[in-house]
Amino acid sequence: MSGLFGKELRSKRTATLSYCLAVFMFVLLYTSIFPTFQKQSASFGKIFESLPKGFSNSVGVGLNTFSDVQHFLSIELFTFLWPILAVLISVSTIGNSIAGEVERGTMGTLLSLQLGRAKIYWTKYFVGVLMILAFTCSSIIAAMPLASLFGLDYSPKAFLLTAVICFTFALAVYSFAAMLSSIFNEKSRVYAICGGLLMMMYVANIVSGLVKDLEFFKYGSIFYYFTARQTLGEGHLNLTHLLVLVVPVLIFSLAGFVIFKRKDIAV
Amino acid sequence: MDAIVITDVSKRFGSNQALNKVSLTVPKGEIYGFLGPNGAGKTTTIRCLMDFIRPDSGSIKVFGADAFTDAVKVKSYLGYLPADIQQYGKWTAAEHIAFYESVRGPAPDATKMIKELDLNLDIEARHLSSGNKQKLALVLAMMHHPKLLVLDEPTRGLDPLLQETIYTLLRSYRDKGGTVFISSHNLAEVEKICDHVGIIRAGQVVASESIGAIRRMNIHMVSVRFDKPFKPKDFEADNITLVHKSELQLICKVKGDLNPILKKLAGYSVKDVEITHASLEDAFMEYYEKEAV
Repeated sequence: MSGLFGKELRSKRTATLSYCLAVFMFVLLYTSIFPTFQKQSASFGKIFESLPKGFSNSVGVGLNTFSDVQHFLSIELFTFLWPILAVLISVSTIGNSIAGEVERGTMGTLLSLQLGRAKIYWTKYFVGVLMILAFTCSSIIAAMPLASLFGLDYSPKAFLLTAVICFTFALAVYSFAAMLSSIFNEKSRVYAICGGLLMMMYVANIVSGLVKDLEFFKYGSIFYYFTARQTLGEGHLNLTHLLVLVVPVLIFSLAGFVIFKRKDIAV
Repeated sequence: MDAIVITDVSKRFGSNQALNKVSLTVPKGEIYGFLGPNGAGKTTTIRCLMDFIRPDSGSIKVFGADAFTDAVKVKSYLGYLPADIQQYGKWTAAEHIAFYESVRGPAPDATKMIKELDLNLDIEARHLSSGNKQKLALVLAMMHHPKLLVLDEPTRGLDPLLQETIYTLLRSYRDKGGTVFISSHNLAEVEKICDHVGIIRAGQVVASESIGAIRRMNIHMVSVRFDKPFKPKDFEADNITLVHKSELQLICKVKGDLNPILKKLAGYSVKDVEITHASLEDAFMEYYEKEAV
């Protein structure tokens, strides 16, 4: 294991474990309470029917919300909680890893060794990817044995496809943050720009579902292509949406590398 | 082969021309002092050498390898100590050393240096005093016995004892064949340990000489105590700069021929006279005054 790779893994160990444990506990909670909610599904169904159609579509609730654990998790986990945690882990990891090291001045230590900027950037990038993978597994893949534990039926294919779209979504956000982290020398600017932009996209996606004239807003929002809810509920992956998420992963990660390789780092 | 060859390196930050066609050569096996006041371009030159920042033009070669296109090879030759030491706060000195060894391989001189500098390996870097941080940074820079040491103001803020220890380490390193490029604005330090000196002013190298050559610049300090009040007008000349005068005392800097001032002094009754070669500081100031005209 290269020295830098080991250093990066060690530095992210605590944060990774915390995020993974937190999301795992949520999945455990939702899976354990699902049988109770399922028994009350008729009364919840009436409430959901009374909601405006646009709103219920936006947040994904409907008559089949409590039909099985997949639909239940798709609403509870993927409407808000999972994307928020994924954004947090993605942006904070790479923001701290590149811009944060420049800000603290410790990037000078790495640059003074015979590592090369390509090695520094890609090692940091891939350690973050591993972190996101661990987060995805501890939330989505781990849901399967938990469902079995509580005697619930589930489709392994649906969970695996959901893991694919979720991982790609987090990677797209992560790669964008990696590019910003290469541009700026302060991690707070990376967090602020990513946070602001994602917030706007989230709102745009909600508004596009509520206001018909603004429906086109959804195409500019990454959350429109984040189809984890549908994938887990229906067991079907929209490949076009997946592709739309893969493209920014490639573009932003490479752009980040080119910027990092060329930039002046006055440490 | 020279250790460092910097040729016509220029760097501009917005409207500020930080380096303007900087050229200098650092001979192998010597301690080269890079002198200049704050903002003259010392650290920018070092950052270019370290490939932290990219010059707009010019080239830097370290033992023949290009500092930009062959940066990894160049880094394998050198040890670096920055002006503002930033270490991983939660790591102990031992962890820092282990990380460097995982990248550069086992460090033969580490144990010896740790002992010489009396460095505690078990304290987290954030709890180290500035002197101990400096010691750790020096161990990290030197423990692999690199071919070249690049030190940016290595003794800033250190007590005289530790400064002396560092000078001893650097001399011993040089005697074993190593080359040192040291930036400083401590003239006494440079005069004490350096073999060569380069002087940078407003982004331009105004001198690059051996210490001996600078001492031979034929600048003298003349200090005279008279028996009776003297006429200051007698000592006004193009090559004489007045440093201090009182009724019975005169201190001046004389560039070039000493005979005219000695002839003037012969007409006075003198209590005491002292003529010394100018220090590096005087030479340094001479370069600055000359360039500022």
